[in-house]
Parts: sequence; C-alpha cells; structure tokens
Amino acid sequence: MAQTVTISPVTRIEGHAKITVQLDDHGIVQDARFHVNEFRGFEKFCEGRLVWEMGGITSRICGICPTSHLITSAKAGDEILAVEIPETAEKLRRLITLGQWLQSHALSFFHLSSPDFLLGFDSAPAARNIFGLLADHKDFAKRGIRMRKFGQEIIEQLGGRKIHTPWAVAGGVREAFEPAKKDHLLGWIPEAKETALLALDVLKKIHVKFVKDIPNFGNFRSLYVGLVGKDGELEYYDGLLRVRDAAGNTIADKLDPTRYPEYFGEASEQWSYLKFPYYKPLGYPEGMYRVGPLARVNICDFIDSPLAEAERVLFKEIAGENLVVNNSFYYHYARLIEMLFAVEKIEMLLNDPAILGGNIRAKAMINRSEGVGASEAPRGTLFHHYWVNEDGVLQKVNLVIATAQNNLAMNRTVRQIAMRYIDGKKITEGTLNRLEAGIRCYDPCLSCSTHAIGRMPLHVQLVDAGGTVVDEVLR
Amino acid sequence: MKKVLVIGYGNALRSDDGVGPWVAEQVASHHLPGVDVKTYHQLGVELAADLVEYRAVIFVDASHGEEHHLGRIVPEGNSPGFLPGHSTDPLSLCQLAREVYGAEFDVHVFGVPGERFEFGSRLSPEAESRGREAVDRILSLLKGIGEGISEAAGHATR
Repeated sequence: MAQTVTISPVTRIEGHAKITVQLDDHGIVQDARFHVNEFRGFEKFCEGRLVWEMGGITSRICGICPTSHLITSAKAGDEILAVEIPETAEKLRRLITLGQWLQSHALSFFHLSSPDFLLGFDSAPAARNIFGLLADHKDFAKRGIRMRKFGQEIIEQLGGRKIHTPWAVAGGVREAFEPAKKDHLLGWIPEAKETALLALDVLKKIHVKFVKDIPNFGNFRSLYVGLVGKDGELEYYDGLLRVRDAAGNTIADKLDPTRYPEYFGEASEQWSYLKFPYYKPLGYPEGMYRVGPLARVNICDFIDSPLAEAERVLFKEIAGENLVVNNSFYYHYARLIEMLFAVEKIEMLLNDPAILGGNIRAKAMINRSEGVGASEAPRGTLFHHYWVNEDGVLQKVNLVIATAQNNLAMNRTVRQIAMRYIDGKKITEGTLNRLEAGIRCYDPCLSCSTHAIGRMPLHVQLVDAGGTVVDEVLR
Repeated sequence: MKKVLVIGYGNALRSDDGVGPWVAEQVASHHLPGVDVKTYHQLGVELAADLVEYRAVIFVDASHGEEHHLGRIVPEGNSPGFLPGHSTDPLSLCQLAREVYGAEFDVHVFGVPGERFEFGSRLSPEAESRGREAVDRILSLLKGIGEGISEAAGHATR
C-alpha cells in the first residue's frame, strides 16, 4: 500500500508548517508538500486604520523584517499622497533597508544554516545548532552575532528602536540623521566587511564539502522576479520589475511594480493556507517563480559595489551556459553576496553628505484613493497595496509577501529532496534535516507570510496511498 | 556598579501577547536609577551581546494559564537544545551570552497570563489587571536586587 511521510513543524523557520511525503505501493516517493497551517487575517485587521499609522502597524507583522514592511508601507503612503520624497529621506530609507538586509541575512546564514553546513546534516540534532557551532567555531558564531547587531544598530540609530520603529512615514521620514551617529556606524564597516568576506570564504568550502547534496536542493527550472535599478543594477529599495527565465532570457522588463496584479496571480490549494503566486502570462503552475537573493543576483546586470560585483561574476560561473543559477542551494551564496553589497553600500551612503540634510518629509493631503508600495525585503519582493477614503482611512489592504511568492518553489524543493533521500518507511535524522535545510535555503518567514504568531517547529509525516501515517517526526 | 535590565517582549498587535511590553513600559515610567527598560517584539540573538553590560536581567512575557510564572534561571553549565528560529527565548539567549561572552548575570523571568491572543491592540481587562500585579512584583524584585540580588519569589523555571 502506498504511503505518505509528514514533517511538521520545521525548526529554525518562522511560523507553523508541515511537510507531507506521499509514497506509492512500493515505498517510492511520489510527491511531497510543504503545508502552512496558519491563517492570515492581518489585512482585515488593518481596515479602518489611517494610512499614516500603517508603517507602525505593518511593521508588527513580523519581528525579523519589520523595517521592510515599514519602508514598503511608507512607499504605498507616498503614492497615496502623490508626492516625491526629498533626496535625504530616500537615502535614509535606503540606509535602513540595507540595515534590515544585513541583520536578516546574518541570522539566516550564521545561525540558522551554518550549523547544518559546518556540523553536517547527519550530526547529532542536539548539537546541530548555534551552541554546537560555538564548540568548534566560536569566532565564526560570534562574528555572526556582531554582524546582526550591526544591522540592528543601523535600524536603531536611524529609527530610534531596533524593531517596529514608526520612523518612516508617507512622504519621507520623521527624524533627520545626526553626524555623530554616522561616525559611530562607520566604525563598524571594517569588521563587517571582513566578516562578510570570511563568510563567503567559508561558504565556498561548504560548496566543495556538499558537492553530492547540492544537485538535489531545489535544482529545477523556474522564473526569477525582482526589482532592478534603472541601469540594470541590483536594487533593494526602488526600481522596476524584471522577469528572467531559467535560461537567463529576460522575458519581461521595466514592469511598473504598482501594477503587480496585472502580472502576478495568486492560486490557492486546499492543503495550505499560504497562497501560490505565479506569473500570469505563463499560468498556474507553469508561472512558478523565485524571489529573494537568488533571483535578485540572477536578474541584475551588475552590482553597484566593487567587492560584491566581483563575487557576482564568480557566481555567474556556476550558471554556465544557462546564464542564471537554477539551484536553490545557491540562495546562500547570493545571500552572502548581498550581505557584502549591503556593507559596501552602507559605507557609501554613510559617506554621502546628502544623508545629513534637513529636508526629510514631503507633506500633502490624500491625493489618490489607491497606492502600491514595493521594495526588496531580505526574502524577496514585497508589495503593500492600500485603498483609502478621502480621509486616509484604509478601506482595503493587500500584502504580497516574499515568502508566499516562493511557495511553489519551496514545494518543488521539498519534493526533489524527498525523492532523492527517502527510501522506505522510516524518516532518518539526515533526511529530516535535509528537508528542513531545503526549506531554509529560502529563509521563509511564515509568521510574516501568514501574519500569524509563533514559531515554526518541524512536523514530517510519511503517508501511504491509503492515507495511513506510517512514520511521523515532530520536533 | 552594573545596571539591571528589564525586557518586555511580545506582539502588541496580538492583544494580550503585548502584556510583556506593556508591563515594561509601566516599569519604565518609574524612572528607577540603575534600571534600563527595553521592549521587543521578539528576542533576537544579537541581544546576547547587550546582556553583558548588566548584572541582572528580568524578562517579562505573556503566558497561558491563570497563574503568574516567576522564576530565576540558574546557569547549569549545559547548553539548551537549540535556538529555534528567527527569535529565541530567555534561557537560550542568556546561555548564549554566557558561552560567547563569558557574561555573568542573574536572570529572572515573569510570565503574565493572557486571555486573548487574536489580532488586537488592546489588553483584556484580565491581562491588564495581572500586568499591574506583575509591575508591583517587578518593582519589589528590583528593590531587592538593589540591595544585592535576592532570590526571586515563586518557582524557578530552571
């Protein structure tokens, strides 16, 4: 009788989820699904609130990327006010966005994924964590903490708080930047640059160590979507949307992100609360696309900082004739390239006199009844879409979250890993951890994408063709 | 002498889950010398680097059930199992601070029982009442700490 394996919930990922592996009569994996069990209701909660409050409210969706929600919310507010914000405000928003990237990417690589890589997928689960890492790699773990602290420090110095700062608002930002803070943050740069380069060096050794595993970690063809700058450079705050296919062809370019509903649809499946966004011209599910670091580094023409650009060129060598890297394991590589870029760009912005300007906010009344904000959150493109009445009271809200946009790809990744590593009726520790690690490539934030509370432990179920659970792991 | 840190954490848009930050803000309003107060949505690993600056840390969080949970974390020399995700917990955080930075400080944890955890920005009357009680108990604890780190009342969490 055919069977199904279920993994639920997944550790070191936010939210609550489950992996189910379906076996056939011969115990061979037929399919695997990544289910998200939490219900989103946050948009409804926002209705009736003022557009000026939305930054402070939406930043509370999530504790890991509040600044991305804050900035994207403020950009939606800019659209509703119909203003062009002052140069200083835009540069300060860019700076805080990079602080967000830095702290999020540091956590993902140093503390959530490095234990798998440095201790091994088959190492004892009790030790495969940051504490296990400390035993043999104390300086590395400590550097990770410091890098995340630097990112948080940027957010705190600008916004006054590490998380949920209401600092960015429709029209600009609330407070100007001070020279003393600039000097303080510049003091972090040498260490941060050294840490980013060290992390890249460590990851390249990991690529060699896991050469047999890598081809099975989300290695498939898909589209890639993200914002790029006006010259085709890696973008993180503004820009226009670009879509590239698995062969590296740009199939759509310079798409206005405020018109995202024309390009992307959201499908639903009965077995998950998380929606399945897809690229409309190719339909569902053929329009599967990936967002986030892998997509951004794949779609940009260059990176506007020297060390990160040199790494991007090396990254492209992996792609070979494809011109894009189609393996999700390399999310980690792309993430570290972005981490290095963030450090370099932060240094550039801190040395830009414009960030100390006093003109930081454009003020206006409600001039439009609808506004879309888009930016690149650490996990991918984030859209906030608001509809307001003449007083600025929210009538309707739609948030399109990066993690949801990777939903189809995460499912495909889980299936590929299950097919490669599950053989028989038992879930081994190594298999369990590879399934988790496959999901962690995307660094999903399920509490963000479902706007729910809580963490994401792992639950895996192995289910036969008759629906009987033949093995189950909870942790 | 090193200061004492009070950390209230929780999601203020999840009704009573926000009671930790609410209690911390009430404590902050007393402007006690030698006491820093911070509020967070969740605890992040980078906080480990901050804890070294304090001789005692008091965590305040929402909890399930009807009873206040008040305890003192005693270092046992063993690492906790893992840091579970994008956020961490007081025990793991403090253990991390000790292992990475060799920090020595006392840790107290308050769990304030909540009633409602759905979307909402207001505390239930029950949570607010228990929150006020928690404020009184924390102020007493701070007074005791000021006289030389007393044992916290109630049961130890670990």
